[in-house]
Amino acid sequence: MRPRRFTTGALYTGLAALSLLWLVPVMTAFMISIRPLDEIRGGWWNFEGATFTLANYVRAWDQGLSSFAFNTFVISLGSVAVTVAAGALATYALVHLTFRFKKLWFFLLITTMIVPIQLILIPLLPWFRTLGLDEGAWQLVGIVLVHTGFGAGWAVFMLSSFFRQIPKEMLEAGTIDGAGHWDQFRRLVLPLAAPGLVSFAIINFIFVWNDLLLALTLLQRDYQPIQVGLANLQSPHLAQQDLVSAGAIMAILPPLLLFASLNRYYVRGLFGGGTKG
Amino acid sequence: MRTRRTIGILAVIIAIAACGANGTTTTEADPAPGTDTTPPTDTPSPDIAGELSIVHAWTGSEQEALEAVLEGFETTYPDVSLERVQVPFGELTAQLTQQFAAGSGPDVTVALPGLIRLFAAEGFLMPLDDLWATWLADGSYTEALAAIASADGTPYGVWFKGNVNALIWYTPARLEALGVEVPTTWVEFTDVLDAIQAAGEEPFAIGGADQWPLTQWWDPILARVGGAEVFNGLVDGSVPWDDPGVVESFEVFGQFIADYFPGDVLDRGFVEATCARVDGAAQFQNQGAFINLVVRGECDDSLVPGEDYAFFLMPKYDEAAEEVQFVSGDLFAVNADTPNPDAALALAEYLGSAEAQSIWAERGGFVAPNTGVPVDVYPDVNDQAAAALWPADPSVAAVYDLDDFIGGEIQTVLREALQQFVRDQDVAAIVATMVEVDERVRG
Amino acid sequence: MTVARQEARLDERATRSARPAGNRLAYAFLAPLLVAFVLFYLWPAFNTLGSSFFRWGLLRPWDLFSPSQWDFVGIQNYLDTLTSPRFWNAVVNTLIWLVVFPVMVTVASMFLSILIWQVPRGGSVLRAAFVLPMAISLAAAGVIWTFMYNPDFGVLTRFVQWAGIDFSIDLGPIAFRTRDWLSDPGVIDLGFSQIRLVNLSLIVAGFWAFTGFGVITFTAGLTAVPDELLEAARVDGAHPGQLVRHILIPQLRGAMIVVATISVIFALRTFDVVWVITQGGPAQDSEVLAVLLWKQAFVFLDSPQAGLATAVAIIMSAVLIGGAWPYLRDLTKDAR
Repeated sequence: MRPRRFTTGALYTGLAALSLLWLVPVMTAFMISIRPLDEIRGGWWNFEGATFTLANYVRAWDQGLSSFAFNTFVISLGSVAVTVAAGALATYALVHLTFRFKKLWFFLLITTMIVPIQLILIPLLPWFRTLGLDEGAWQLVGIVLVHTGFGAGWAVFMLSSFFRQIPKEMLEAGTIDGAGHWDQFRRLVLPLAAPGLVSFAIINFIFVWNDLLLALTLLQRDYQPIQVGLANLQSPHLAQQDLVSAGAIMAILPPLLLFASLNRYYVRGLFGGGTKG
Repeated sequence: MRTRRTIGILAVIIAIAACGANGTTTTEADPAPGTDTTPPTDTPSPDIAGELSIVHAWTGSEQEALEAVLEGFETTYPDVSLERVQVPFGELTAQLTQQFAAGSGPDVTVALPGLIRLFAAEGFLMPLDDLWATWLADGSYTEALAAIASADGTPYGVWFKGNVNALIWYTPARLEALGVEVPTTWVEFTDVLDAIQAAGEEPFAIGGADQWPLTQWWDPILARVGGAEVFNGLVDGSVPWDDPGVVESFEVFGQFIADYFPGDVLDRGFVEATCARVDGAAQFQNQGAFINLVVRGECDDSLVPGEDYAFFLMPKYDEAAEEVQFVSGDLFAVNADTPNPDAALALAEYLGSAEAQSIWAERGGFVAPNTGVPVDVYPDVNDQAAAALWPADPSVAAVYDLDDFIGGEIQTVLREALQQFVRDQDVAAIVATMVEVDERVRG
Repeated sequence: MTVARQEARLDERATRSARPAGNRLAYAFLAPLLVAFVLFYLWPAFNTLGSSFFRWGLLRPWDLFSPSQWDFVGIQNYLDTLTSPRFWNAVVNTLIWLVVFPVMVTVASMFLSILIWQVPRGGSVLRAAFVLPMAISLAAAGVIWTFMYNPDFGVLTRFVQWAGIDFSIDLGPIAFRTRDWLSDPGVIDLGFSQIRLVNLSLIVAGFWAFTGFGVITFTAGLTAVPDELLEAARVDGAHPGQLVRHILIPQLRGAMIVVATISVIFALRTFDVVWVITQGGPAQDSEVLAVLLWKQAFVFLDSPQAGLATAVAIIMSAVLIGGAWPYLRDLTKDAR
């Protein structure tokens, strides 16, 4: 029994209006980024005699965003890869194995979601130096590990709900066949939890991609990611709203692309276990 | 099918990343071996060599101007490889503090006087006595400017980019249309403001959503009502916040707010206020000399300095009072632990020189603190007029932007309290707030 | 209570009797994550906890290994915090976030998800519009919303003018107006405390940026609702409203808990949006706890207060962990 045509029409109209409303802020940033500033001050929706230009994008890019791009990809992809891999292994142990101090570890891991990171940052900088992670490419290794550490709680929190969904019987059958835990993890759990891994990877990617504070504090200029470049566009006396908007639009493209391409997994996977409650 | 597309997109991302890798490595390779490729012959100072890092927070056209200045240094000292590190303006203090505290501070850094004093007290900065002895002897700088760059009597800072404040910006044609003249006394000033209101216009655009524009108001009033001694006494803690001069300055400012400030002071930021005045929403804006750059950069780049927008100095409150110039600006300081002190000092000396400052002065939106920079290098009449107000004459007292001079919690609390003051003009409350924080912080 | 304790004891016994081989295997699986976690989170977090009992500032960070530099103050930082009016002002503003934000996010995203779920075609396009802001960093979202609230070219301001709803009401304890969004949109005076509506302007920005998370989560929850359940209800002649109320919403309980919990955490930790848009102002009208501790640690350098900041952080964490305790306990139980 499908909803009647009338209700469907009303539903579409309402939702379309709402989603357009939702896009107004993005539209604002986009229009500011492609129009000269003095036109915008009359309202971006005012198209009379409007000029459109990509000059702001070129300027923002030339003002240093370009030199940050490579680092951003290394840091984001590296952090996501390490966090997902290490997180999946750990979650397997937390969900399917029995061991001492399990609750304590789980609890400590979960606190990463709660404690404000700004404060952990203060002791982290001298600690980086002690470990020798403040030199050259080691900085990239360092920040990947920091993101892994801070993402550990989220990883375990989200992945455990997917891992729990895998029926115990399947795993038990595996054990009888003589497969060790490593084989089970690789052959059974990983493929079955793939959607969960992908959705966590995306959330984690967005988180790492958008990080400013960790990168700014821990990395030297040559190793900083694009968010630092974006923050650098703001100045004390010039608002540079045109450049800031262009930079912001550019910086959302990669996560957006990833997001769109993996949308299917993302929607299906997230918290699949938790929703059964 | 879909999975394959996904993998394809990931592959593209990785490919882009890989291209970036190539790009970065090649560009990175360029400046690094600069020391090797430059001919070792005819270098003026063979001792000055090696690597040097410099931190700043300028962006856009200001960053380009700094770049031109630094290129001048590299021409003089080709054996020095200079690493520029731009830090987001809002993060500068926090980042520098953490770096210096961890022992990894840059060799040379931009810093406001408040930060210089904090860092100097911790032993982070190199004293610059010799440099300043020369500058004071040859008249490049005055004692008042040396005092601003000093902590406990020892100079640690180098003036680089100056700024003159308490400038009332206006549009000559609009003022003319109103039939009033540029005021030269406080009474004339308030008369003009009354005339503007009588004509149904708004006297001022403020920009109080950003907190600092309010300090641009109270600071010159304090300097005019309380005088330079009270002003500097607040900075070094020798004058309490309930000093009669301070209280009176709040009373004058409070009355001024009640009489002439618009209702939406706290809703507009500084840039909106600037452009709103340009567009005719208000007659005046009280701001620093840098407005000359902001008007064209943010509002309308077709405007002609001097013709379409100009300024006059906020008149004296008391005609008999001494001449006090309210300035601000950016200084540089040298890391006490720099591995390359000779080069760092050479850079500091260069940044404070007339030669270096002329390079930026030519580009506009800049007031050179070094008195050796001739007025004719400035590109337009507004910059020239602002530069003429710079306290180059030793007889003119100079006071530096009060909250930037103090820094820290007192600065933050003052800015917040001024926003509250705009709402309620409660003199007793703001004095009590400031006395409380001052006593707590300074013990 | 006793049941819970018994359970805990049973858990303990089970853990203790775990074979050492099991321990070794489990820790082999855990090792990669725990190395990063212990080195780069737990150790600095432990330092932070320790440093909250000392007086120190960013100029001289507290160092566990230099006892000669310590300035031990015991629980003074906690006492000072709990008696500071500035702290309680931030608590009130944070409470506004804690009450309003999770409710807005949970309710709006649940109904959006259900509505989009009803659409036969194009649901993913509609959903994308709501999810898009998630890809924007919170700092950038803050900048974008300053454009929205801009008194000159802000969409909101212009809309208010266009629709002719520019008004201002003042009923004594309640004042509200449809302008000055980021300075003085209004206040509710409770007598003992004031609720400043500028916080709502900021919450709207956060809500816009975060609702996509809720939409995704609820959509995932909807996918998990068995088709047979819906089919059976339809056969019984339930109309859509009943369907939603009696079948979908109960089925979405798990998703609701997730969204509510995560948005409570978000609300408590909220920093970027506030910092970028108002820096806690005007005056201290929108200063939340995370902004306060940022100022204490990174701005108030002249009066070493990083110890106070860490105390604030630890109080925040303790309150949140305490509040989320039943939920966390559930999680640890399931993790077996």
